[in-house]
Amino acid sequence: MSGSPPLDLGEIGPGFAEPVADAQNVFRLVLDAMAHPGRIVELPAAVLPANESGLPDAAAAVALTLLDFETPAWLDRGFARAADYLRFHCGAPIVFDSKASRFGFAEELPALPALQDFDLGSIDFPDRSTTLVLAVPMLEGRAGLTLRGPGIKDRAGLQVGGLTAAFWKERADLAALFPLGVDLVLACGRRLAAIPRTTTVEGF
Amino acid sequence: MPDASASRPADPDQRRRWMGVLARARTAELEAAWEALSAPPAYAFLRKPETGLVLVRGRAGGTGAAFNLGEMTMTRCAVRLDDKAGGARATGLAFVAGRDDRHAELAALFDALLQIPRQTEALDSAVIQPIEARLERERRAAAGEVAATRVDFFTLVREQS
Repeated sequence: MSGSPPLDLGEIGPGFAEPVADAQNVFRLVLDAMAHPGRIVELPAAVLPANESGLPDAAAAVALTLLDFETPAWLDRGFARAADYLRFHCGAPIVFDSKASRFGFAEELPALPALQDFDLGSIDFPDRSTTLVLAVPMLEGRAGLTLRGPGIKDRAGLQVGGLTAAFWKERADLAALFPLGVDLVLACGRRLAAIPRTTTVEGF
Repeated sequence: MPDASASRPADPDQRRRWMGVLARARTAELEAAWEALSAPPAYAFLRKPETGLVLVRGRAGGTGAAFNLGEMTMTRCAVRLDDKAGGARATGLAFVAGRDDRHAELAALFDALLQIPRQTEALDSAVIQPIEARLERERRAAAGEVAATRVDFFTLVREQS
C-alpha cells in the first residue's frame, strides 16, 4: 500500500493482556494525571507486566491506550526501536516531522527538538496539538518544581530528572501563545505525571 | 510439491496458501489437529482475538474500477510461540471470517508452527492438505450442482436475432 517497510513481527512484544479493561484503566489514570497536574500515578501491576516495546512501561501503556491510526507518532532516535511496536499494536503512522505528530515520544531529552517544532494546534482547534511523552530518569513528588494552575489547589511540587532549566524556560515562554501549546506526560518506569499547557511551572 | 527451501522466512506463496486454508477450515478440524500434536508449544498472544469489520472491495469483471461490496465481520489474532528448547520463535497471524475467537487463535497458532522450517512439511501434509482436499471436494460438489442448472444466455440472444 504505502511506503512503510514490512513489520518484523518476530521482534514485537505483546500489548495489553486485556485490551479493553487495561486501556480503560490506563485512560482513567492519564485522565487523573491530566486533571491534577503533577500528581504521580502508577500503573497497576496487572497492566503490561512484560513490556518489550522499547518504551518505559508507563509510556507504552499511554501509547497503547491513546494512539490509533489517526494519531501520527513521532519518535526520537532513542525510541526508534519502538516504531514497529506502535505500528503493530496501535496502527499509528510513524512520522519523521515532529510538526506533523499528535504524539511525541522522547528519551534523549538533551537532544529534544524545540517545543515550537511540535504541533502547537491552531486557534480554531488548539486541542489538535502534539502531546509529548518524555521518559525521565527521575520523577518524585513534593519538593523540586512548583506547579500552579487549574487542577491544583494552591501549589504542587514535582521533582523531575533529565529536564534542564532551559527546557522549562522554553515551555514557560510558550504560555504567550496560549491556547496553543503542547501538553507533557512525564513517564518514569511504571509511574507518570502530566503537565498540561495550563500549568505554570516555577522554581527550575 | 515444490521444494520448500529451508530458508528461514516462509515462502510467501506457500504461507498465503496455508493461511487461506486455515482461515476456511472448520474450528473442529483445527481443534482436532491441535490435540493431535505430540508437543503443543507454549505461546503468548501478541494480539488477542478481536472481532471487527472489514470493508470488502471488488472490481467488476476483475478489471473495472474498485467498488465497495460491503462490510464483513472478521476476527484477527496474533500469537508468538515460546519454544524454549528449540529457540524457534515464530509469530503467527490469522484473519478469519466471522466471530469465532478460537478459530482465529488456532489458525494463528498453526501459521506460526508452519513457519518453523523443520516441521513445515510434516504439518502441511498432516493438517493443511486434508483440509485443502475437503475444501476442494466441497467446491467441486457445489460447482457441479450449479452447473446442472446452468442457463446459457448466449443461445437465447442468438435465437431472437
